Amino acid sequence: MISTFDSLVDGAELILTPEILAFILIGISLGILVGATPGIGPPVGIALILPLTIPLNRWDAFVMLFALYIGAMYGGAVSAIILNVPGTPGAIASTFDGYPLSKQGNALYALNISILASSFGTAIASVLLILSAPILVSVILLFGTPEYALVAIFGLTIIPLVSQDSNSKSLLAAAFGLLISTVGMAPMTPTPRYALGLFELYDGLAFVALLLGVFAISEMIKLSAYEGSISGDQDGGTEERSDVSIREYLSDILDHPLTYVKSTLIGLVIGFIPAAGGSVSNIVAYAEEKRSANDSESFGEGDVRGLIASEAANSGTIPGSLVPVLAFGIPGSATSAIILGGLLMHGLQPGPGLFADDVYISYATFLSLTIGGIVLLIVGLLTVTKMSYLTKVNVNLIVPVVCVLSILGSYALNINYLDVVAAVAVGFLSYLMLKYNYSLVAFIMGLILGPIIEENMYRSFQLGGVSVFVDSYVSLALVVLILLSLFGPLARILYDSYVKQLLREDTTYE
Amino acid sequence: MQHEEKLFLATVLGISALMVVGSYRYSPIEAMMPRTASILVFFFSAIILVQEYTSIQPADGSADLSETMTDMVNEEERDDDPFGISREARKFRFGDITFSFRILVAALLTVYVVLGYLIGLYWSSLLFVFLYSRFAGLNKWRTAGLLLFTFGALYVFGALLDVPVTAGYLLTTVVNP
Repeated sequence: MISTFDSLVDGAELILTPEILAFILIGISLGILVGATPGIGPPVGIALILPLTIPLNRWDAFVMLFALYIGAMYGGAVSAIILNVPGTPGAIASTFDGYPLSKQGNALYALNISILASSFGTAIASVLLILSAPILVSVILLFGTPEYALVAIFGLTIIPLVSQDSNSKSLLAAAFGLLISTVGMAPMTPTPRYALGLFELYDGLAFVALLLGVFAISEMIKLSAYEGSISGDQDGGTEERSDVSIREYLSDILDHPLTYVKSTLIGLVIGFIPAAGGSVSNIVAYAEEKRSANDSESFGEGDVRGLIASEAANSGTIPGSLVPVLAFGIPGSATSAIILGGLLMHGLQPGPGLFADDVYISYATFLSLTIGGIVLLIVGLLTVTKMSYLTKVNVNLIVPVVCVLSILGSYALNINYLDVVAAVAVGFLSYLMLKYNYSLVAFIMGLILGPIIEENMYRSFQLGGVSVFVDSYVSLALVVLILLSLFGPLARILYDSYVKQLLREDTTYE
Repeated sequence: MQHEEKLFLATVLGISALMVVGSYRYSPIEAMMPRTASILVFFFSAIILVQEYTSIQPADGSADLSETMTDMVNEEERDDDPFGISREARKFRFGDITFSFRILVAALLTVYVVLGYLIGLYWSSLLFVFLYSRFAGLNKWRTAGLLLFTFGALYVFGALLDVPVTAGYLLTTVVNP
């Protein structure tokens, strides 16, 4: 077996080339652009750029996608700070203190802090993953076929717990995703299902085309009802000149080292959880920072610790969320689902093998993220004064451009017009889902996890029937987690109503 | 529950029902997943409907297709500004009926896809952008800028990515077979 150090060197050789560094730079810049433009955002932006990576060689494409993810995650904070409009769900908590800072005339300071926190979060979380890779490998190798099936099922059942949408609507969306995933060749027999006699449907509906429909087309239909710029009449105000030097900003890390480290760790750990992602981690880190502060009353009034917590956590989530993507093919968020689509499109098959025989791939991934974090710091600080222009882009310019790129992109994948039809049809359905709070992430998770569940359940049953699901401690723990995620909320509702009833009876006696 | 949501649920349930019926052509192992997923769709739809009708009674008990269409074209955009900035949603007038601009964009996209199949994505993309610019009331400079961008995108996809953007059913089978 190749040693850890050799694998790390192999990964570094793959990444440390001028070409790769150039693609990281391009990815970060494009990511900031799409993340900071309200109305586009990371999922739409990355989905649009995905088809354009077709001619690139796989590692150029991979590092560009990872860099896009990093840049877009930071970009989401720009509109959160300037307009009080989170560009991504991962930047919701950044509005709590970022926007008050902006209103106090400190928009530039807040943006610089968010760059530092995002850069720190991504780079440190990636370094931690590189250091802990040998432990991760041993944990991931505990997962066999039955555990793999159970992790995928857990990924579906946990959605209502981590999404802000209604439970039953999220689960309906996930079930519908599962159903649509059955179109195409059955994993266990060479039988095409629901192919309608069309050879083009034998491989199922093209995943990236569906992503373009779900995220880009639905969002554009929604956006088209509004005129002018998303920011309306609000003024960004980043044109202010700041006398604060970069050295002083960097010294800010020394002022709040615990906030940076703790929030990055929270982000990293939450990233591991399927279906959680930056939308959860930024809120959790913010709440934890506020809880542990002695002077918590300043939170919400422009306390820089709140902004650091949110940004370090959502960026720390990026490397964490790529672990289940690489190890199991299970994404942690909408954006990582699109990254997964990109990996599959370029022929990388996720699985425990990426942490065993081909562990250099994981090292190369985390190294590229570390470099991406550093590049973000440079690009971010160089472009920060121009950020408010992006928030003023007219909706009428965004909608036709994104629609045309979505249609061309979905056709370019396989030169199959059925993909275009599928993208637009799913786009229409997704618009209705978006409007009535049916979780799009749940739908995508169903689409991704459907084949994983089906194939691994079938293999598990062949291995030894139902008993294989309780044979190991890992599978037993996963079964318990699935049951808890399914019935936990119900038990909580019953418990709450029981407590309320008791309280009511007490009041009656008094 | 608004009529659009009913339309969405009806579509999802219709697709699920068709897939359950279709699953009888496959072996039990092949049919297991589609049937399980369909059962879950039916189950959660039932829960949503029960939750809806046990908590909020609709103003009128029935809704036919004409009501649905009227509701969709005259909808009041009350609650779904995705960016939390309250302002009135854009409308589009066609004769006496006021449409949501979203309906127009959906219709334009449908025309775009149909035309793309018939005459190829090259001309249909340009036509889509031109029509969108006209309906959105963009001035000639912005329209020209958008058309220029579309030309650029078509060049990238056509020349650099080798995507046959000019190939359409009519052109390849009727005009130039």
